[in-house]
Amino acid sequence: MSEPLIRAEHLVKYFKSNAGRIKAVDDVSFEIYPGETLALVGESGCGKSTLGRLIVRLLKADSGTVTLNGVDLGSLKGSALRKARQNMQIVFQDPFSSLDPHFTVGEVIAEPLRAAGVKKEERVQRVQQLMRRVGLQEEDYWRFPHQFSGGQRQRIGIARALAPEPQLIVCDEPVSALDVSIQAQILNLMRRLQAESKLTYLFISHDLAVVRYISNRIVVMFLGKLCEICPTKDAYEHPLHPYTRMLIDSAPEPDPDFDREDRMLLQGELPSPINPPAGCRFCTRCPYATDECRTVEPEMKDYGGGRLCACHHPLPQK
Amino acid sequence: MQSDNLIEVRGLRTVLPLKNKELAAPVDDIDLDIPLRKTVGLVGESGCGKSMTARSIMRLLDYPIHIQEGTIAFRREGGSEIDLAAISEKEMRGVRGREISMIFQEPMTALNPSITVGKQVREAITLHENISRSAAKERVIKAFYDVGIPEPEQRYHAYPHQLSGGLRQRICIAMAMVLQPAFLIADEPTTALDVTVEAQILALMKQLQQDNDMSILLITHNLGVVADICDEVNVMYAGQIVEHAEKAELFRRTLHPYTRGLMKAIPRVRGSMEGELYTIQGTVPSLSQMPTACRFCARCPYAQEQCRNEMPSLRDVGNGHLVRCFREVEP
Repeated sequence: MSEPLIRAEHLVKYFKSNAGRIKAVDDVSFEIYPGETLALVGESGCGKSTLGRLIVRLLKADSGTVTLNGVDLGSLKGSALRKARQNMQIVFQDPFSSLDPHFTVGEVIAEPLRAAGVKKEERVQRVQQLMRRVGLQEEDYWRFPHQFSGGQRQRIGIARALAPEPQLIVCDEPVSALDVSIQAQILNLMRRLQAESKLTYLFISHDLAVVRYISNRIVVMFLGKLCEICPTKDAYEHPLHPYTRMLIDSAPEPDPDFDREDRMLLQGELPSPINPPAGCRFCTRCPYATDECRTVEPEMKDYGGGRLCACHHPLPQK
Repeated sequence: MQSDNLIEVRGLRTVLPLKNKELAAPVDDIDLDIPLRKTVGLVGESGCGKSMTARSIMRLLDYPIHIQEGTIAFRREGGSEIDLAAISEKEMRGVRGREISMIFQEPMTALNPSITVGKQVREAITLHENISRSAAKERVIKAFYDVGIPEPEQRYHAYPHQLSGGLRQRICIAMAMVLQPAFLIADEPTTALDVTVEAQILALMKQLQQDNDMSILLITHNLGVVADICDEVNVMYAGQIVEHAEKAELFRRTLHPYTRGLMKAIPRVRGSMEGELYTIQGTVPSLSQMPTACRFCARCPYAQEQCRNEMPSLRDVGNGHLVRCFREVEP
């Protein structure tokens, strides 16, 4: 494989709360390769959005490093950091709160270019070009975000992310707030843009169906730790980690003849990230948990073919 | 009213005045049957009028939105029939919460943040029944137990913010179920929850329905949820029902171009993942500019002259399958 675009090593991020330290991201390592779509999946509260923000350094890690093209982002300051950030953009879930209501659409999209010091005439030209690429009309330039529907606003958010011509776009639940017919339009657009500009996506989502459609590889996260990293196809066809299997089995299937009895469903809810279970963090919800799981934390093991899994008792492979 | 129906909605039209004093109808000429002990799905995208239909049945419309036409026949406990669209607000208060109850999408906003969940559920009982506080508390704890809340005695004293989203939704379900209503309206009950918790809540609803001989109207945008727990399905588009069938029939013989589009637009967890996703072109017509012809014709790949001039009626094409479309269909 080629050199990774992003390499995250031993990332740790704890948050303080009245009840104690919340272990949002706890010793997480993985790579993102150029041109791929890496999906980051898990339940709400598992730390996937925090991890996304650590990667683009909207949050600073307590320890651990993120390198972009081999350069440690933690060592950068001032203009060097600003420069690096142009290479990493983010699209947020809620297209209603992530656009400044006082800016016109044109100004929203031009803002990252202005910050990068692009001259006004060039800015306008590039914004118009971007608007065409994401399927907005030219006359939308002078309209305000509130005049647009959710799907159109997400197009504006995508155009803004594309403006500084980044290599990586972190997409934090970009289609979760949209209706299915609009969701399909945005997913198709994202795929097309990726093919046109050789973009790399870190696609954060809890929707397993969307992830299967859009991603090449998948990272499964549970309570601040990674469970499994593998090609998307493997995760759906023969997962190694029981959590991966259960997450996929929970997804509702729009087919009445689908055999629902054969599914492995999760019981209970996410344990507290302040006092996570000892040993494997998944042990309290895992049907295969043994004493070993309750005491010894499993390490990430390489199973070949780009498949990594942290489990004492991985699922049998056909 | 047919003997196996709990609710029969006929010609329901709910309107709201626009700025120019004209009336717009987010719910227009809805016929809807809820058979006894069945789960009926109401599917559609945001703004199609599905929640407004439910709120019309519950008579929870915010002024100046009101029911302009139509009847909502409801079979009461003793067997007598009443028209929910015509009775007084005072009478409705005796029905709402007791014989018909509702759960909402967002369990955080549906609960009062400053009252313990136990007290909130207890209120639902004491509002309708003359019962001592301790007896009511016992019933609340039993209801918590029935919906699978662990440690119900301790949870009784918890505030909503101390509970997870899944537990909060269970509290809302307990509140809706505590008086054993004949009819439950669930408005996107799992949309705000994780898939793992969603599967648990759907299983719970199925089980409660069997235990209590209840009918459910499930409002959702998710066809996967429909395939999982519904018996019959109604698809809504721009304020109208455009297709109605039993679940298996609807998925096997999808007739309306809008329903077909919806089915093809969803990415699947299982099955093929090649190629582009199907998209429905264009957007839903706005309330103030509702076409008098077929409301889907501007987005429909099969639209013809007739579709642009006339409104299709909801016609029966066999097997109890209704569709609002002019296209010929094979039997």
